[in-house]
Amino acid sequence: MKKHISNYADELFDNRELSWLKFEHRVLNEAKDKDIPILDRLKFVSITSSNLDEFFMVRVASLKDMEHANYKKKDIAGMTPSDQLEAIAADTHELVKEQYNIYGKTLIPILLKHHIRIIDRFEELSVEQGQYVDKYFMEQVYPVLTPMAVDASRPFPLVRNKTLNIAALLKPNNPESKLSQGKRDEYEFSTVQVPSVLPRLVWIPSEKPYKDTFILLEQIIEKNIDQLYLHHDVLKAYPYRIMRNADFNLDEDDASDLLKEIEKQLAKRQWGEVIRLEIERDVDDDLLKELARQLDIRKDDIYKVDGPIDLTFLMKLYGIEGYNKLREKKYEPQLNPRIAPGDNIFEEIKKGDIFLSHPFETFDPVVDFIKQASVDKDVLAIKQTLYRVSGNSPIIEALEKAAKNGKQVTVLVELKARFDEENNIIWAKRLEKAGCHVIYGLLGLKTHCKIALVVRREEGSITRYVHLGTGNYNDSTAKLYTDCGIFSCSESYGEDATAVFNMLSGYSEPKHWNKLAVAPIWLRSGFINMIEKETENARSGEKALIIAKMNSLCDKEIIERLYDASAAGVEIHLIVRGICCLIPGIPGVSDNIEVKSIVGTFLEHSRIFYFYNKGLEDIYMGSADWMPRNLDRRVEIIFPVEDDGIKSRIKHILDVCLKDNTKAYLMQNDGTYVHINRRNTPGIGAQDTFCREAMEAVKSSDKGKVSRHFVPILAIDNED
Amino acid sequence: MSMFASIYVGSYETILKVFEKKNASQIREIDCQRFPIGIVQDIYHMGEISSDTIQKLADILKNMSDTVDMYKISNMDVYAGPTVGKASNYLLAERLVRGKSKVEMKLLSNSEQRFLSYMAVASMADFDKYISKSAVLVDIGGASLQITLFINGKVETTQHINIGTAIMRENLRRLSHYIDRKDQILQIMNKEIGGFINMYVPRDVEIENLIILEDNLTSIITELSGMSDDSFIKSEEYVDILDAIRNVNHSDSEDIYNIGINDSDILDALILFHKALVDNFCPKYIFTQNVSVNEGMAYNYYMKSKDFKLKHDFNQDILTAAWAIARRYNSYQPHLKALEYVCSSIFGSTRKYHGLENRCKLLLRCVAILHDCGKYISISQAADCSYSIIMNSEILGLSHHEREIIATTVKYAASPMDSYEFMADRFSEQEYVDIMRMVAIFKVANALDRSHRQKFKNIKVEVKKNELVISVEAKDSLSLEKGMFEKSADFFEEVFDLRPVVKEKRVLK
Repeated sequence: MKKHISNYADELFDNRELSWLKFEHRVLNEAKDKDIPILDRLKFVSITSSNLDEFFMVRVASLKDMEHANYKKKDIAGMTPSDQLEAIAADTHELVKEQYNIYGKTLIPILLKHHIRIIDRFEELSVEQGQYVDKYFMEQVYPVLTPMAVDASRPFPLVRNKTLNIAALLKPNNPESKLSQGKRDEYEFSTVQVPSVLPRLVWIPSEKPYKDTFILLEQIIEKNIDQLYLHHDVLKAYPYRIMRNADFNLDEDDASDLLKEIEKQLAKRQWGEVIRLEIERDVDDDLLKELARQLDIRKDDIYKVDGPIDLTFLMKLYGIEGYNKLREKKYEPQLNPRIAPGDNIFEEIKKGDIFLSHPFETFDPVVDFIKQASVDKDVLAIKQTLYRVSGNSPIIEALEKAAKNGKQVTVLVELKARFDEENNIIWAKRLEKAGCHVIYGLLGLKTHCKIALVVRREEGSITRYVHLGTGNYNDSTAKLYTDCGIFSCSESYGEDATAVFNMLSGYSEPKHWNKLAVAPIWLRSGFINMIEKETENARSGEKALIIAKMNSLCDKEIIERLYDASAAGVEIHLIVRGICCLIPGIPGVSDNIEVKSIVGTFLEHSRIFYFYNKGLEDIYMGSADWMPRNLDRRVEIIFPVEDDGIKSRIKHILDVCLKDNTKAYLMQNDGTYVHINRRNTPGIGAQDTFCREAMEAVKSSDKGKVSRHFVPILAIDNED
Repeated sequence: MSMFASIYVGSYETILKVFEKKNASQIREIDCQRFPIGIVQDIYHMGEISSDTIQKLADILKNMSDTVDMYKISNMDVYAGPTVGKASNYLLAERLVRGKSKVEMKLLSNSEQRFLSYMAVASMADFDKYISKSAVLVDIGGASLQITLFINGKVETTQHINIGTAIMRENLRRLSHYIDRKDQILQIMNKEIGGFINMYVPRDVEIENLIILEDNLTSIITELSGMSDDSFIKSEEYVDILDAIRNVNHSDSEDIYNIGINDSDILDALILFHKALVDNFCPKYIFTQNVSVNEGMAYNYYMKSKDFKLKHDFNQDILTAAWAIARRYNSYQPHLKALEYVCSSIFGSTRKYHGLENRCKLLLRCVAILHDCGKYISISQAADCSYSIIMNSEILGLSHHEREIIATTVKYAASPMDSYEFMADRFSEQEYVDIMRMVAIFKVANALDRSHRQKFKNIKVEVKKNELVISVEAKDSLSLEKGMFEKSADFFEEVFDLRPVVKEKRVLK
């Protein structure tokens, strides 16, 4: 790799972790938005909570590892791992405080107004409710509880990652008992895990004026904790949760069977270092001290919260029945204007490339692509990459069916997809059993590209159908993430797709690619070249424009090239949902760069890259962000869009995103984000616009009018 | 017939290519799988293929044959390059690989392998235009170079030189402690290529085009020059590009040139080859072609079908190469032309009786053209010398074995045929019979021009009852020819059960 020499000071970059926390603040802002129904606002709180968990397990854990190894190398913004951890802790404490403020002071009162009550202190239960809870405890909860005491003969037990537990300080209630001899004046420490097999949010009978009342499971246990320690008095009991270092490093060279090695490492994840402890704010000092000692945790890593621990349970509340009015009306993904249910997908693709825009349009065509291929007698092979798939994935089912039908099915299941490792091992084994040829990723690289290839024999000749996308082959997330894709049967895409799978199967890379740019080998240089070309065009006085939409931007070399481009006069618009280490609007450096971030109902996920290129308007889409990991350590694919119709649609998408003034934030030159000042102009929300347009497109398309449902005539109106 | 798979086990890479017929003269590549296997390293260092490599090769062939099955292709050829055959344990290795992979590979001779590469490049639409004035085609292989000279659109000669990229790479490694190692290697290359030029390129011929066949560096050059697959690049520009590649840090080359050469010594060896070729041949234009043996295998396969025809006439290449050899050894050309003509006429008229394949007609014409070349060495031992010359002269388009058939036919045209037992180690029974038939035809034709004066014209050959009637218009008396004819006719009758008879019509000179 050619060494890149930096010309820019550290101050011109934001730290990626702090930038990510800013994104979390933007998500949390949605929970403050009064225009959003209450249950959706709670959902945003829940999302920040689960995001934060993942952030700790991966990013903070990794920084902790670096700190332990005395690694002093500075990041893009000139911060050492210790500097970063310090700044992260400060920011995270702030974020958590805000999260609980919104939850407790804003959202809970609104819920109460709508007669929904969450009891997070069992002391608030009425007598009847208390009886109901006690009965529930004895029947449902008690049988699955395993309290574990800690003393000289019993070491501190394994507290599993991310589980909720209740710590208690106990004192023997019968000092004469032989069982507790020698400990008469000492407190005993005990912990019990709140069973994850039971629902956290438990419905209980309501008292007027409430319609629905819920209590948290840990409160039910706390209320009955005496039942667990019959020979002790429970002096204090508090729920707590820990987060462990979940980032594992695989020694792939020595791992002869990657599948087994990952299974082994997953088991170890439960034993990782504790990097975060959450506990209620009014926790007893002695108990906290004991807990911190046992878990060997620093003060900075203890998060005292004003409310229930682990707000991810709010996602369950979001789904409660009978409150549709308190939720945003669910958007139904519309039919693709080119493909109606039941259409022969291959015939449609033959008519011309098809553009797909999810979740505004349904993901069904992608599932049908594999489903139809699995039973099509002319299909010889199906090849696909799988990074994250849904539970009961219809794609997996179709692939299994295809293999059973004698098609050659090659599937690259990325076992290293973070937090989906276990899931993916299950799929991989299932697919192998069905007779598919399963590749478990590549040594040292994660396969992140989204590509599916169907090889079909038509009239004695081979035709290849390709799907390329920006999002995973996951029918569940396709309803929540904004992604784009195309279907094509052009020879050049087909050849490249074949070459991609040959490469993934261990063969040498092809001598040249027709259309695709593939990381880690050629993608970085490709992007750099395109940015440099725009820079040269600007320098020679020509119009130069770059619009790029992605999830994260933190690659130093790319950012510096963008700074160069900006200084040369290239107009640059970046739509970056999450991390953005580039700082716009710095005089002489980035004054021609605008950074927007859209946070809406759907998770912005598509990656689109537009380069004006002297009017040729090169547009690319793909799986890669402008992050070092995407450009250097993953197999990614970026593909050009050449069909004029599809180009127009993508330009429209970019245009609408840039015009968004309701859900978009503008990044300032101090690294902060602000809502766009509309100044009495009409509000434009990109996601709303695309939903509306997708519905209109169906109305005006023939496909939408075709009803595939047969309506039986149950009674004949005899007017005669 | 529409799809075909070719697997080529080369000296440092095994390649599968799947093709389908695009139209009556073009094919389309559907799939390509390449896997680097360093067979040549094994051979270079140990003289044999290691058991690890055998296992790896078997695995790869198995996977490749699964791909072929996926396409439901029944037509597949699997060839191993000639370098692979140099392994002392080749026979054992081949059987082990076959046992493990269930894939049977056939070993190509050098000439067969070169011809397949040549076939791939000569199948390009404008190939005849590229060689119309003067051109040199160089096929750079792992273990050797094949240099073919074209003058006025015709093959002048083709020569095989035992220096290849893999061998040179090993030499570079061996000399790694010398600062001037590249200069030393370049000197070896210059000496070998210069030797070819001195021997075969006429002094008044300037090389117009240099066509380089090799698929690693050529792809970089195509990329760097921005030229399309079928365009030439000026010599000076080419040198600049080579210099640019040489100046790039090796670890960057993979990044910069979008290629998978992860072996810097191979890259060095290739650059040196390209440079030596340009320096020595001083061509006006250079044309690099990214084709492999696999394409040639496919063309070779599709050519067997009646509805597939390539523009380039490969048979003509063989004949012109044979003529070039005949000229080199000062054979008397009018006699050879007359013989070639009579042989062809008899072959055509007796097709029903001899049952020989069309390919044999081509071989027979070569017999006619080359039968006298040995006289250049020794008049008394002409047949033996002709045999040696033919066996040691490469003819692009003929396999080593086909050359042996020609040489043997030439030999037995001048001496009594040995019985099959004496030739069973070299030829099949069918081939022995074919040789005998060709000898019979050739002897009759040769007897007709015994005086080497081409006394006849307007030859007509036809079979009437049990006779092969050769009607000729003679300018002079054919007494000598008729006298000598009987012996040859006896042999012909013995072989075909047809009695050759000459009917002479005297005409004015």
